[in-house]
Amino acid sequence: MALIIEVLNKIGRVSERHRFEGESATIGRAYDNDLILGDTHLDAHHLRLTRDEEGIRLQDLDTLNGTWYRHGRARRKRVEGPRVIESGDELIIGKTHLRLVDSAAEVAPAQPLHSMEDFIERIAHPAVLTILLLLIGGTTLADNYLSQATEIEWKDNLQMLVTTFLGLAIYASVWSFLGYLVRQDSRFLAHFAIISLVALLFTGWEWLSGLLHFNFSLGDSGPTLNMLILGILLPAALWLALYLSLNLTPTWRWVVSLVVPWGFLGLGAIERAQFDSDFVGRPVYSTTLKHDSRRLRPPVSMEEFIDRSDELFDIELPEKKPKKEDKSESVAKNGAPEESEVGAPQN
Amino acid sequence: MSRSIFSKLVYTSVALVLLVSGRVHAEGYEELYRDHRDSLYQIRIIEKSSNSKSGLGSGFQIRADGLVATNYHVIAEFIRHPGKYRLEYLMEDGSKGKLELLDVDVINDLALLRHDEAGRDFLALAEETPRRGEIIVAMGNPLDLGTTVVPGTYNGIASGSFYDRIHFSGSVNPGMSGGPVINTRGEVVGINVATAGNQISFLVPVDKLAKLKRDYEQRQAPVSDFKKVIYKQLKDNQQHIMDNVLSADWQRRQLGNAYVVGEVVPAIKCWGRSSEEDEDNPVRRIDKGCTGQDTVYLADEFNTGRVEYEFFWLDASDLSPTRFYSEYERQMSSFFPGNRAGEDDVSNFQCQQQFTEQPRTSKEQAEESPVIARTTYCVRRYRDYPDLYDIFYLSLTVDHDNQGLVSHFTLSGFTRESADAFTRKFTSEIQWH
Repeated sequence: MALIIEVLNKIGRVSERHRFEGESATIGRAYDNDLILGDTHLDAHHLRLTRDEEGIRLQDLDTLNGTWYRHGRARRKRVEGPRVIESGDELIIGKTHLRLVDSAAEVAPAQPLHSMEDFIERIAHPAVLTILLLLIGGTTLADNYLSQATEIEWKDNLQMLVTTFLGLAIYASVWSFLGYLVRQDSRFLAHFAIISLVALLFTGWEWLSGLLHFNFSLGDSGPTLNMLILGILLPAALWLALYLSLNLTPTWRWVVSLVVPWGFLGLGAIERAQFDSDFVGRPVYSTTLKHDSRRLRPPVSMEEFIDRSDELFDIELPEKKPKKEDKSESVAKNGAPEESEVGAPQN
Repeated sequence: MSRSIFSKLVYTSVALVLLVSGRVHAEGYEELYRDHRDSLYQIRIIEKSSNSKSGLGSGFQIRADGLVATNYHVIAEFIRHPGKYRLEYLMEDGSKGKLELLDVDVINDLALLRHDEAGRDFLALAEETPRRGEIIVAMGNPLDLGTTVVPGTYNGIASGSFYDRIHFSGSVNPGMSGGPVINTRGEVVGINVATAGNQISFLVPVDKLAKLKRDYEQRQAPVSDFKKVIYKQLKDNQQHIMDNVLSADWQRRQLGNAYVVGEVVPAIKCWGRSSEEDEDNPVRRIDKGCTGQDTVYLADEFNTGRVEYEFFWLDASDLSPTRFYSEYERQMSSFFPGNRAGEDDVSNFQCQQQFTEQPRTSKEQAEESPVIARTTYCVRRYRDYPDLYDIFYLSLTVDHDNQGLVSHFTLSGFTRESADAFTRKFTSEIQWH
């Protein structure tokens, strides 16, 4: 039976493991310790661990900042005199957190490798990633060029490219950093490749939706379709990021990656639904314009168009909302108020 | 020396003439005011709940038994919300009282009222039209400052309007609406109604009021349903405008490579503007817009009776179609209805949008492919006048690589039959060469 000392990082994840077979071990900054730590708040010889029939005995070596321990989720307590501790207890010395584990303790069952791992490996391959980035750069520049008629300065193009790539890189960096903290596995290229792919897919959708708007005047269904696409792309991106960076259980991963994007999209939809029921003082129609070569529907003759317009005139007029000011029905009907009505003191 | 004596003489005589004529006029206006002030009223819209003024205008008595005339727009809020407001008058001598609404003419912006305790002073309606240049005098109570007398000249019926309005050179200010304009004999020749600033004002000719008065005298009773009366007036008016427009000879005007419609009747005025192609502006654009000059006032946020159309020609000499259409879309994505209207007055717009196809009209091009456009047609219905609609039409050609023609019109307050006839005429008149 051996003693395992795990060094924990800032968020409580294991960053190093040390195994001790002997009867006792010392920990501190001095080079003659069994476990040498660099924490400047430790004494040269900070504490000693000894094994006896009762378990592991812990002894603080009369240090400046003392030795603290925590059992489970309880508050930490200072170690006064020798003390026997249990496997899994956490030690706090200076700013360093350690966990002591008996080598006989059980470990959690193995996590199965996800089938997505293979896909992630493939798109994070430098060659694939390069192609993705070239495509993103290309579509960004092409979109910028084609969406306006005036000449574009190279500075603007450069700025646009830098902004795009910087945005993607920042996203990837944030998840990488989380991954590094939680799993000691940053996977920057994987994150970069995933978000690039999502961005590329969304650009493709925007192009397609322009074509749909032009041909089918999507109207109200435009935002709904857009939401549907985002409702797939965003959870997929979030799922992959969570899978790569955090140790969530599969169920929790699904819950978070669906609830967060759908929550935000849902809020947007509710806002839009409220707006839809409102009065709009101008006609709502699609303003998208493209060349005839992008037209997918046959035209109708102007005659037929005007004939069809006749149906538009059958608009149902709902009853006016009753308002306080229209209370006096008799006057509204008669128009001309009775003498008494006008003279009646109303206030 | 002799010259200076002569000029002194001239100056003196001119000054004398001015002084004398000034005195004559001043005396004339004083007399007019003195003689007729007892026929003048301030019309007040009083909000019942707060018992405070929410609208002011002027009015004048036109019969010994207390018949009073004013503008429709002065009392419009009362008709829309009769439960909320009451009508009151205030006379020069400070006496106050109630008013009863008898009849309205929304097209000519007139209303007829009555009160029972009237004095016997009233203004007679002139039988004869003033001569051009004749001095006439507007009276009213501008900005609640007290009765004001404003002399000016009669300049005939203003041209370029669907509705007859006297062009009066004199200042008509807010609050004077509904006040009388009299000739030097003290007869009413018009009613204050609007101003374009700088002493250009408009009056309703008195014959419109005479007709309203005659109708009332024949009927001998107040109108029982004002909405119904207004509804009929609006319907007749839109028919009158549409008959006018459709029977006119529509002269075509060139716009880029197309031919479009210009001023079809004098009441519709057009303007134009163009921008040339240059480095900052790779698309050349020519605009032409035509608007009916007057609308019928129904409420502060609701007017109607307007015909309006616009055309835009866009072309570029060296631009890929995708870039041209991006710019085309950017420039042509905000069109608005030609009138104002609120939720209480109209429904939402209902639209259809299609690709439309029209043969090219000129003979040598008949063989060529037709004009393809993305066309939108929207209508909204009037809540109180359900046979009337606002119509919105927009058609943008998409069949050229870097040329586009936009034709757009809005009609406000027209029936479906009028809209249909206008749309057919309008779309058949535009030609692409």
